[in-house]
Amino acid sequence: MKRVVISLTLAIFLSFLSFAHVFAQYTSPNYKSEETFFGTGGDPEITSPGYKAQASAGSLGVDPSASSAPVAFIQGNQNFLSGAGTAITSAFSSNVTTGHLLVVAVGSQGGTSFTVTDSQGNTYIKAADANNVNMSGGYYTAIYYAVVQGSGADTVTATSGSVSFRRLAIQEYSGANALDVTSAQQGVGTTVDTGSATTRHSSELIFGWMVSNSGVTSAGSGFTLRETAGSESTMDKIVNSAGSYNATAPTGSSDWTGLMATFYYNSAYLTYPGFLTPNEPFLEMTVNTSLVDLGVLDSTAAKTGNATFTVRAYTDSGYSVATVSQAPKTPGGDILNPMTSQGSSTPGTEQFGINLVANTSPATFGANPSKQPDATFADGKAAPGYDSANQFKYNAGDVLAGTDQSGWGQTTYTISYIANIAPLTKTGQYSMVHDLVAVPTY
Amino acid sequence: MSKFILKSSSRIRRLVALSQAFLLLAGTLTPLLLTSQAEAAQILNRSLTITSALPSATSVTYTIGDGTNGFKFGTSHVVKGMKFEVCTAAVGLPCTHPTGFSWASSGGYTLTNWQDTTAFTKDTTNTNDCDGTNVATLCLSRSGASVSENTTSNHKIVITGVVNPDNTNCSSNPNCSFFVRMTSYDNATYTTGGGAGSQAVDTGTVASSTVQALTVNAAVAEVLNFCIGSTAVNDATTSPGAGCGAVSGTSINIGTLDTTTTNVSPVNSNGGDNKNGIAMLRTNAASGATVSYDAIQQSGTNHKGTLRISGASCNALDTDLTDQCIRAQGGTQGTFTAGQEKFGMTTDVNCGATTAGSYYTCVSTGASPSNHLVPDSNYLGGGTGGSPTYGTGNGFAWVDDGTVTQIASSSTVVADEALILRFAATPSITTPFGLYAAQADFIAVPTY
Repeated sequence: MKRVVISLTLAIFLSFLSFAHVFAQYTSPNYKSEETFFGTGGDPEITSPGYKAQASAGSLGVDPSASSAPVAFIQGNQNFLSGAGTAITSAFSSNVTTGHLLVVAVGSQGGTSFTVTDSQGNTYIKAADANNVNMSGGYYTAIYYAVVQGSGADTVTATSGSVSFRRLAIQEYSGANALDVTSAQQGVGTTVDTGSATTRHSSELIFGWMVSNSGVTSAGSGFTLRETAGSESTMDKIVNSAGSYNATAPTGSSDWTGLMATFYYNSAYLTYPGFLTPNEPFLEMTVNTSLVDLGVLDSTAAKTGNATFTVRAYTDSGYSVATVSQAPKTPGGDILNPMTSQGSSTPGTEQFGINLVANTSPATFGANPSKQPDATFADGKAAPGYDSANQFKYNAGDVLAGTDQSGWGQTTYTISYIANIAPLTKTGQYSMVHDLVAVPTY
Repeated sequence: MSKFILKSSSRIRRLVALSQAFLLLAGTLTPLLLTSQAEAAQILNRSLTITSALPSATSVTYTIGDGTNGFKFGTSHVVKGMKFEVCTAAVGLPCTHPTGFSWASSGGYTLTNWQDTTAFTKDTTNTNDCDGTNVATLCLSRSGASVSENTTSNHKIVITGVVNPDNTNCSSNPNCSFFVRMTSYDNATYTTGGGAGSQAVDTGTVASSTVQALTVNAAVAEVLNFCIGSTAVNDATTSPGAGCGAVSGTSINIGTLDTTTTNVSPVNSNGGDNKNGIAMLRTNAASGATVSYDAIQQSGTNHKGTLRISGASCNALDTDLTDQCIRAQGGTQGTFTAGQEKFGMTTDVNCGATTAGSYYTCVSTGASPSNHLVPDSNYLGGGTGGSPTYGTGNGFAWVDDGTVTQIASSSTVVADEALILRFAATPSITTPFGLYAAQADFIAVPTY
């Protein structure tokens, strides 16, 4: 009997958790509780609940020239915009300093991502984000950071798809240049809580981005309020020992989201701009060029052109990118003769071919695959047949680029196009919609 | 990355106490909430290949499992149902469907390397989250399956007729990733949370991306090189020169006419200059070109375009053999008889100047001619259209009223093919003495 009771209790416990998730997700405006709900996001195959907390670490590179400095807040600013739009900016009132840390908190209604840039050209990395579907019709928040590469006046711009309102808070700190850990949490109640994460260094900046339907205008215990954008606030504190930390802030009873990122100064390492490895199947492909115009072809000299595309993926078994289009053709169906086997450019002979490497003939054009930020972070390469300088080829269906078995990172590829005609290549406007298909294997 | 799990013993006790109040309700909900997805194994080595990455592309074929490896089930089971839900994210609820995407017109469901070859059929019963319209969620069922799929075979499934997302709900439009969440079931009603025969078994997500259209344009300019001159070439193969740059001359002389013979160019006696006329054509017109002439109307009256004495007044009748006009043959080719006054022209194709290549051949005589420029029937010197010969055996023609008359044409590009123009004339006994001449304009008209 007792055993049965325990089993029943456990079953009820599990059921309650699941039930609570469902209940909170769909009826939270009327659900008042001090409880917060959380889940783990480590296994990409488990469908995570609407409330999610995660902790992750940033990427690291190597630069032995860095020196230590105490962590300190330098300056901040904020902006908020109501109404539909896609961008929001805020400028630092004083010049930012090389080596300092810029931490940017953004929020929007209806969006799912931001791109953060600034006028100094610093590269921003997303530290944490969350999308709370129960707030204001869906409230997306994120923390980005960058290490200043060049000092001077700086305006930060956050860009998204069209959203209903935007919030932006910018902060500059000295004495920190690397991301340690992050956490994110959503809930209902009178205390915004980012959830805890365990730091790994003795001196760290604990940064919180606290948003709530009722507004957050004061910092939690031990924290200093920094910027209030609209009714949402950033706050921070400096800690002097590694440990488990979270950020909290009081609010009115309502739905809320708390994001936390911790930063430290690594005297032996400099954080490189990079990417956070996602914890789920990931593929991002961008064709960066819309038109390659080879102009009027000439039987005495080749015409050349370039286009680029970028693939970022994290896969178990690599990815490939294939071309699926026919060679350029006229509306009447005359096709520019594709180079079905690898060969060099021959003016006077009708040819259409490509490769994905840097060339010196028939012109200096093209580029080798560019791994971002360098080859230690990505492994994309041109595929056989398209990987030899000054040799070109084209077959619809061919794989142009890809990675080895453990495909990862971001690589930008440059397609080098050549076209030659014979004296009697049929006249007309030749055109090709170059359809590129990425296939990741997980 | 580190996982974050908050544990608190007091919290658990409090939750247990609260749970008792929900005993009945939770018991009702348990079959729905205790999904077996948390227990599902991963589908391994999975990939998605699509035949077009353009937004809104239709009739796209989606292949899950590549052509070489295929995907592997994590659990050996009889697959009686599969669900494919397309989302803008790999994980997380709710699944936001990329706008414009549709499985609705999909078909095929071709299986490769499956142990049970029972075909999948599209389920439109709207059972268990299958949306019935099969726009964003495709449910395939096969209740008759009975053989377990193993965990070692490389499975593949090909789905045709898919419509790609249009990216209108994608902030990075037109370069947008999307994800297909796959679930296999041991039942044909996509039931989960039960025991064997009522559960989702394996899951996995694959990714693909629509991308911005990349257009490559190029233009090939129109080419037309056409020239007229005189040439000593009198066959189908000797090169008259490399292109129009080698063609010169503005007239030919067929010598002093004699009633005992028909003078046919090239005439190398009785004052003839031993030349033929030549018209050479080069064009990249995809639809070919035509070559025509019109006899220049000289001064005088009647038959002003034939071989005549300048300024002569000729009889309008074509039967007069005493006026100062040599009777033109007319538009219908005919052979000449010496002493029966006639003037005319015929042509043969010369391939001597063409540059042979793998894409172009030119042979103008014999049973398998391959020249692109083909004389019209009334101006073909010898043989037939299907088996031409170089010569004048077919006779001559000449339209003297200035009408533009086609003598040759092509249906495609022409690479320096030449028409050897052969002129012929014979007088009658009563043809007056004098210097007779004829002039003509030659015209090439390409169609691009």
